[in-house]
Amino acid sequence: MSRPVSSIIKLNLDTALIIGIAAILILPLFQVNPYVLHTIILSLMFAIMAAGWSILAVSGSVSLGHAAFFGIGAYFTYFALTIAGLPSVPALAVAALASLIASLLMGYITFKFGISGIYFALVTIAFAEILRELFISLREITGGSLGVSLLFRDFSPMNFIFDSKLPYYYFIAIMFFMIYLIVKYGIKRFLRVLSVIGNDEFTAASMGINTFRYRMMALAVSSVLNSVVGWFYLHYFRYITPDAMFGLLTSVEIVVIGLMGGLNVIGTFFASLFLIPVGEMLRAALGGTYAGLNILIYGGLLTLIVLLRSKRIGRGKVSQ
Amino acid sequence: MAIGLNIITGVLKIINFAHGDLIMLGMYISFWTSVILGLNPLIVLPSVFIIIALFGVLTYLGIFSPVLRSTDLEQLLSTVGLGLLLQGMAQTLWQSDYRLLRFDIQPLRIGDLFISPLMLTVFSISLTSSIVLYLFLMRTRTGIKIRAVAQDSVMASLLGINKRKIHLITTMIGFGLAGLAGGLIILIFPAYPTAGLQYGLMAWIIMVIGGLGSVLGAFLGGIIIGIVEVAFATFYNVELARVIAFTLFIMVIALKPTGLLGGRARV
Repeated sequence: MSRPVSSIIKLNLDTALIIGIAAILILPLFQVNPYVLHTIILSLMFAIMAAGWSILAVSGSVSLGHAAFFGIGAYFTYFALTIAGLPSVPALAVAALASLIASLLMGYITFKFGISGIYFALVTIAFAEILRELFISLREITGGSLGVSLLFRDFSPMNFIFDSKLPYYYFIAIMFFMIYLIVKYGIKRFLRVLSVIGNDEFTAASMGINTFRYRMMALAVSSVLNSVVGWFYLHYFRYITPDAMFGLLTSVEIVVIGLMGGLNVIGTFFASLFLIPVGEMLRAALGGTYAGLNILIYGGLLTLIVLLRSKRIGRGKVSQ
Repeated sequence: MAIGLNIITGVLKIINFAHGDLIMLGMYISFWTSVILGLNPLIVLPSVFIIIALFGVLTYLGIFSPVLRSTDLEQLLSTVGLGLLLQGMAQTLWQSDYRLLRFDIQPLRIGDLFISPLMLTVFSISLTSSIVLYLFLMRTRTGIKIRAVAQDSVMASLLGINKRKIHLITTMIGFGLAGLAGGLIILIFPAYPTAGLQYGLMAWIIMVIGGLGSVLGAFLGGIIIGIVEVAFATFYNVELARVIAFTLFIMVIALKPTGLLGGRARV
């Protein structure tokens, strides 16, 4: 790929993203159907998670268990709200901290022992499965596989409970835009180092980059992003189950959106805004009897993307 | 059950994550043919083998063949996708109900020991098929070619072995065995769309713990996981037993990445 072409495409994508964000911010003024808002909220949630996943994937570690951090975020928010009785904002800190600790633990086990590639992917699946089974088995506090629901409290920003979808909508849209800005301008060097590691770890190490530390940081950032979405999810849906939170399907949704978006924030934005509404529409059109269709589509897409991809996934290399 | 997975991994060097879902597919095919046609599920078994093996041809041409030269990760992802595709298909076509074949068979009694004839049948068929596979690999020309490709595929193709053909045959056998395993499992356990994930993940863990590509290791891994899980489930609770199994898996990967019996490092 020659440089000018790619930079032109990139420029256009940036403009497209800004137009997209602006459209999203203006959209509620036109009295749209709440269902449309809901779908966009859902899309942006997945876009953020996929963006978080991409940060890790750029560094060469493809995680198939990223739902783990999403679930940790949601469940620890629930614990903080109900058991400790905290308001929502400190609960966010609790959730982020919990998933930070989990990610450091997982990162230490995997990166310290040099687990990479498919083994990393398998370990992450196992990690998410461990958490899923663990949260099912701790029935007293997690409600088992039936899940728990967040009881209604007053409408207030402190509780992060509102009587309309709009505040959620704006919150998630602005959050996404901020992540985009941070990734684009704030941590540019960090991402570049990560992609060097993803391309060729030995070169990176011989250049004096502490690959272990950078990998840990990538995992930490990406897990915290996912747990923030988990926090948001709990407040927005007020109902969580271990299967929905930690399930393989959630992880794969994140992976598919991340891959389809080409491991960058703009890409995940469009991939997610395309995939999630399509999934929702199919569900609405076909009804609950065809619940499996979603899984089918994501499975098929994942295979298709791998077959059609132009970049080498998880290695950051361009194939030619 | 893990044999079919092992042969594909060994020969094609592809990580087939959809294996469990193939087993699930085998369970369903066996279930429906025996319910609709009213046949004995044991008579259906060969046809399950053939159907899934034919599906293997499609998979080989559509997925395995294009990704053979890609990275491990891409192969893994493509088969994860295939697995989910099958799972979604099963859920769409057959709903998420548990489906179980019922039999009225008196348990055999030997002294004070009660043995279910079903278990006995399943055990003897799987033992027989393992022996048949072993003989096939050891004694027939095709079997020898398969082993040659597994050992050194470049050398094998230099010696005039059609690599693609061998890969195709191996995929068919591996898939067929998964179907066979499914046809046997349905005799004892119910079929449901996510069954594949359960069996597949377990098969993977067993294989990695035992050492990839090592048959003895797979056997050992199966026994270790089996004992740990049953012991924990008996004394404590079932979900935590699986947690322990997964933790064991992560520990083995971290401390001895080649598995308990895997000697050389496998990249």
